[in-house]
This record gives sequence, C-alpha cells and structure tokens, in this order.
Amino acid sequence: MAVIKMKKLSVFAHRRDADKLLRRLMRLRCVELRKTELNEDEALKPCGDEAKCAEIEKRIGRVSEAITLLSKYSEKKKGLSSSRISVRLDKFRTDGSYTRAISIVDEALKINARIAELNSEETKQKTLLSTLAPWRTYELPLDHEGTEKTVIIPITIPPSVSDERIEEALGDTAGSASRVGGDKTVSCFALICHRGSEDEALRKLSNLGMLKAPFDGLKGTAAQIMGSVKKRLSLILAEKEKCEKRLRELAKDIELLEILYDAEGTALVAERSKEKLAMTELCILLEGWIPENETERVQAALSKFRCASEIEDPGEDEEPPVLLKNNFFARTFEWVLGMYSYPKYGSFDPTFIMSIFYFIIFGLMFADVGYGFILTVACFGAIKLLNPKKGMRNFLAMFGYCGISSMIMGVLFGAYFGNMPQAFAENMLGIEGATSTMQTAVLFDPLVDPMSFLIISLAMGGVHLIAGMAVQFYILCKKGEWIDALCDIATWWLTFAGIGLAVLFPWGKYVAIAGVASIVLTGGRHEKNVIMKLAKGLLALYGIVNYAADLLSYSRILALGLAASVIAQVVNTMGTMGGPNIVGFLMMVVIFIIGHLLNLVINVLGTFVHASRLQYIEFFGKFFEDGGKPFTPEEPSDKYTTEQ
Amino acid sequence: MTFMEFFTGLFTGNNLALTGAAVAAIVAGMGSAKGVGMVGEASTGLMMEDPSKFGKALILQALPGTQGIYGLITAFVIILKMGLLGTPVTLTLGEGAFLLFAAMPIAIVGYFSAIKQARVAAAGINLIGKHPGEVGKAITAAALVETYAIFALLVSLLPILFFTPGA
Repeated sequence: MAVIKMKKLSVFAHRRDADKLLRRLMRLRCVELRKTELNEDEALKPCGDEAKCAEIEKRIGRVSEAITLLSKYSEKKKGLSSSRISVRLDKFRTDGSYTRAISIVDEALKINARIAELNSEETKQKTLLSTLAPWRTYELPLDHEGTEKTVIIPITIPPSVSDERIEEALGDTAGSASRVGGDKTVSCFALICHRGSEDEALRKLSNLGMLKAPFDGLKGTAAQIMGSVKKRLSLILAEKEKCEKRLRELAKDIELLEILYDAEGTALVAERSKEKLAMTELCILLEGWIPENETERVQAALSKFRCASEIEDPGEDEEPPVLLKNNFFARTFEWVLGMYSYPKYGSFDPTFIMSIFYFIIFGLMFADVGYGFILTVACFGAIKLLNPKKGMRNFLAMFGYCGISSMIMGVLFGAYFGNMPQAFAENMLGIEGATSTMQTAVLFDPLVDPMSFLIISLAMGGVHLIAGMAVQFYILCKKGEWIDALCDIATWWLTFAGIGLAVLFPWGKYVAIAGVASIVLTGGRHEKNVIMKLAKGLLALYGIVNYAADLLSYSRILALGLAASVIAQVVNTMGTMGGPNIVGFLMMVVIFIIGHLLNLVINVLGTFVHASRLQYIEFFGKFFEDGGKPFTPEEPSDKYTTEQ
Repeated sequence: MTFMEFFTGLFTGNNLALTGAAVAAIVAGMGSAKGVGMVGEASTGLMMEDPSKFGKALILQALPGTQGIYGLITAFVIILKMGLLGTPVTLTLGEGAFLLFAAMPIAIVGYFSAIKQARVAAAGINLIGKHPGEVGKAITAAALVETYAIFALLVSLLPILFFTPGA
C-alpha cells in the first residue's frame, strides 16, 4: 500500500549497442523511457526511424493475417486450455526459426491468394455451366454463323410463350424459330432466317421477352463446352484441396508464427522506444524512470554493456510515473483505482483500505451464496485455464474475491439464488407456506426486515466515511499540519461521537454541542476579521449537509441488494410454477439457468458500478490527490508467448 | 348493469394496486428503453470508427437500463403483496390506493433519471471515443445520476415491503 519511489536513469552508450541495450532493458520490465529533451545547439539529434517502424508494422500485419488464416486449418483447437508459449526471443532470431517462420507466412498468404483466385474462377465456371444447361441438347456449335444464305441465332424466350405465338409474331418474315432445348426458367430456340432479314425477326420477337443467348467467345457445342467446364471445375476443386492440405500442413507450425508475432512486436516496441532517445555520431543518450527497488537489477544489466550510467532522485519540478505496491489481495483492486485516477506521485496509496471496503460493500450489495459461487468459480477458473495477461488476471481475480464476499454475506442473509430453496420446497416438494416460514438466514432476510438492512448499510457507510477522514487526518499529520487535522477532522469526529452518544446517554448531547462549538470556533481560523471568523465558522458547520448526503448515499447498498434478491425471486417463482412433474421440472431447469445467469450479469455490472462509485465519490472525496501517470515500462510483446 | 355499477366495479382496491404495478413497470421501463436506445445510437456511431471499444460502450449503454429494472422490481413486489402468484387477497380501496401511490416515486423519477442518465452516458461514449482510458470517469459521471433513481426505488419499496393487507 504505497506509491513506490522512482529514480531517474540516464545512460550514455555506444550507438551500435543501442538495440541490444534496449532489448535487455525491455526484458527487465522495469524501465519506462522518457523523451530526452533536445536543445537546438547541442550535438544531440533525435533517434528513431519512422520508415523502419512502418516496415515492421507491415510485417506484423502480414503475420497476424497468416495466423488468423492458419488457425482455421489448425487441428490443435485453441480452446479453453490455450496457455502461452515460453520462449527466448533472441534465440528464435538466431537459430533459423525466424527465417522459417517468415517463409511460412509468405507461403500461407500466397496460397490464400491462390485460393481466392480459384474461388472466383469456380463461381464464374459454375455460372457458365448453369447458363449452358438448357442448351445441352442443341447440336450446332454455339459459334455457328449459318450458311451463305441463312443465319442461325440462338435465342431464349420465357417458357410461358407458346410456339404458336412465336410463329404468329414472326408472321411473314423469312425465317422460323425451332425449339432446341430449355428448362423451367427458359426456353431455347434457334432462329433461322434469310441473311438480311434477321434484324426484322429479332425486332418482332423482342416483344415476347426474347433475348439473344450470351455466347460471345464460346466455341463448340454446348455439350462439348459443358464437358470441358466440368473438367476445369474438377481441376479447380483438386487444386483447392491441395492448397488446403498444404495449409493444414503449415498450420502445424502455427506456434512458430505466434512466436514470430511477438518477436516482431518486441522489435516494434524497441524501434518505437528509440524515438525517445537522443544520439550523437557514436553515442546514444537514454533517459527513463526506474522503481527504487529495481535499481540493482538495472545496474547489473547495465554492467554488461560499455556505457556510463547515472541513477538519481527526481528533481523538484519533475513528475515521475506512479507504480503502486500492494499485497496479493489489494493488488487485484489497483485497476479499480486506475479507472478513477492513479494517486499523484508521492501521495497516499489508498488501494489496500479501498480493497477491504470494496470487498465488504460488494458482498452486501450482492449477498447471495449461489451467485457468489458462480462468480468465484468462473473467475478463478478462467485464470487457471486461460492463463491471461496481468491486467486481465487482476480483473478476474478481483471479481473472484468479490464472489467470496457475496458468498459470506449470502450465508448471513440467507440468499441461495434468492429464495430458491424456499420456492423449491413449496412448489416442487409441496411443503405448504415454505416461502414465508422457511428460514435460511443466519441473521435475517433483508426482504422481510429491510430496515435492519438499511441500518447496516448506513453503518457501513459511516465506517467508510470515517476511514476516509482518518486517511486525511494521517496525511495532514504526516505533512506536519496537525492543527488542520485537529480542527477540520477531529472536531467532526467529536460531533459524530456526540450524536451517537446522545442516542444512548442523556449526557451525550453535551459532547455533540462541544463538537459543534469546536467546528464553529475553529472553522474561520484563517480569517483575520473577527466577524469573518465567526461567519466562516458557521459556514464550516454547513459541512454537516455534505456528510449527511454522503451517508444517505449508502442506502444504495440496500436498494441494490433488494434488486438482486427480488429478481431472483421472480425467476424462482416462474421456474417452479410448473409443479412437481416432468414438464414442470424441465421448465424449472431452463428458466433457472437463463433467468439466474441474466440476473447475475445485470447485478454484477450494477454492483461493480455502484461499489466503485462509493469509493470514488464518498471515500476518495475525503482525501485523494489524483492525477498520477501510471508507470508503463517498455516491455516485450506477449500476446502469445512469455519470455523465459 | 348501470354505469355506476360498472364504475364502482372498476374501482376496486386490487385494480388500484395493479395500476400501481403497471405504472411502475410502464413508465420506468419507457424511460429505460428510451435511455438505452439513446446511448445505443451513440455507441453504434463509435463502433463505426473503432469496434474494439464495444465492451466499454456496452457498460455505458447498460447504465440507463437499471431504472426499468427498478420499476419491474416495484411492480413485482406489489404483485407479490396482492398474492397474485399464490392465494389472492382482497384489498380495500384505501389499501389499493396506498400501493398505487407508493409506486409513483420510481415511476416518475425512474423515467426522467433514465433519460438524463442516458445523456450523460452518451456524452461518455464520445469521451471514450477520444480517450479510451477515461471510461471509469464516464461511468462514474453517469452513475451519479442513478443515485436519485435508487432513492426513489427505496422510497417506493420500503412502504410496500412493510405493507400487510388487512392490517
């Protein structure tokens, strides 16, 4: 529970070592580079090569395309148990795997392009085949132009038109149409007429929906062409199969491509981070931040290089990035803090205190053994099976812990998927009145006694608010401003304690009056004028409204708790309506699964949002100094691999 | 049947209570439907540029949906109290009116807060379009509006939960 102290690192090294040095520092995962300030007149020039970055990016694009392609052909299904491969990227570059992976990418993409070509040709040939199908009984070659005196034109006419109507339409034109084929959609005719009168014949027929058959460039009879098209199609199919077989073979090495992806990704990070360096003819200057506790590791790594390095404290006007240090439990809540803002460098890290309150409040808002169990098993199961990256792992672990809290609170307030045991007992086992008499709660059922739960919610809020004030008290005392701590915070505690005591003992009200008096008397201590002092003091008393509003805000714990259990009750009532028979039982299983999963999702979202809000507004509002920039060290790419 | 008989037959305690349940579900549900729709439109616009922000946008879109759920909860608790899912009870006119009035806070506040919350959430969608890291602030800003729907839910729910027919 602390913001880690940062040190400023500056390194002068040989330019030819730049790549190796950067990669070594990236592997340490504890150096965040910062852009070196360049003065115009100095010999330092910006380092970094935009063209090279673009080239690597293009390669990464190709690799990722190849991975998507080959994963379709991979036999090893990337199912739930996909864990990341452990490799050494520098070895990968030198032992020939790199060139092999590159050649696999090239070949896979080439084959893919060929398959696309074949597919488009296949479509074309199939269209031709279906156009020719009605003509297969037509015995003349399609390009046959007729004799010296006559012309033969293959035409199509809608099948609804009868032969008589065609003859009628042609009338006294010197020509006739003879039926040569056709199917359900079209009738095929050969129009035979005298040379010179074909235009007239076509014009007369066009009223009947006649079209000239689209046979430009085709040679031979329809049957012959269809034969060769079929042959071509089978060749295409064979080649496609061959291509796919080859892709399946290549897919066996998909792991190599995944390593390549990370190798190139790492190269890109290194190249991009060069943009932050400065260089001279022979040297590079590297500046960055390292956590204080990592200085030795960094120094040990640097000692392998011929370089000059310096590690110093940050200057007054510098704003180092923020890295938090927390125990295994609170660490998983850091991202909740991050969603609001990281604390300013050098200020108080509230993650640990927040995590405890978050844990309890989440449980109270979503008190249910069943839902909590599903949440915990799903989250920790996902961590176990998927081996996710750090961010995702913390995200899942946090909800896993919150599920445990839900289970504990669920036992106390007797919720097992809402009132599932009661509903089951009453409607499926036939125990009369079980929903109103059966008791599963250790303490009480919030639906029966919401006032007690409201009191618990507000009490929780009171503890949370006082904890927030205590943190501020601590911060002020640490800064040496203990007068402010006493006047602005302790006076309120005295007032709160007085109000609490007044409920229990008659003399308590004097404590409360003393508290209020102390607030009024000290509230205006920074003013010089006596009247202003008093006015400011009275104004300080107005703060009671804020505290009351903050406290009432915690009634949402009750509201969200009721929301979850009432919806669960709806599901249980609907699910058990069918009664104790097979249909009723099947209906129950289906409704329970769908309904309770839906309720789980809705309420996890709602509870997450409102539990966070209580931290952000009510708790952090008391003391938090925001605006810290999270520490983001340069790291190797690890989408598929982990560095050994 | 005279008109008066029809009229008095319509105005039973049970009908008034059922009206309360219906109003809670209808009005709050309408507000949520409108609100979720508004944020949905904004987030679809964002998807056109960057589909990878779907998850973040979805959280914001779901936020104005809770008022409808609160309305549903209130309606359901009224229905439970009327015994419609078990042995029905006969409510007096006064008892029915009691449940109808109790449903008003979540119906009215639910409707307006869902729409106002949707406007904040839609603005939040624009925010995450430019700064994806600020999704926490966008959610918090929208969640602040929800406070009043939650208070209204409590004010609706507590009298109904403490209500015993015939007492």
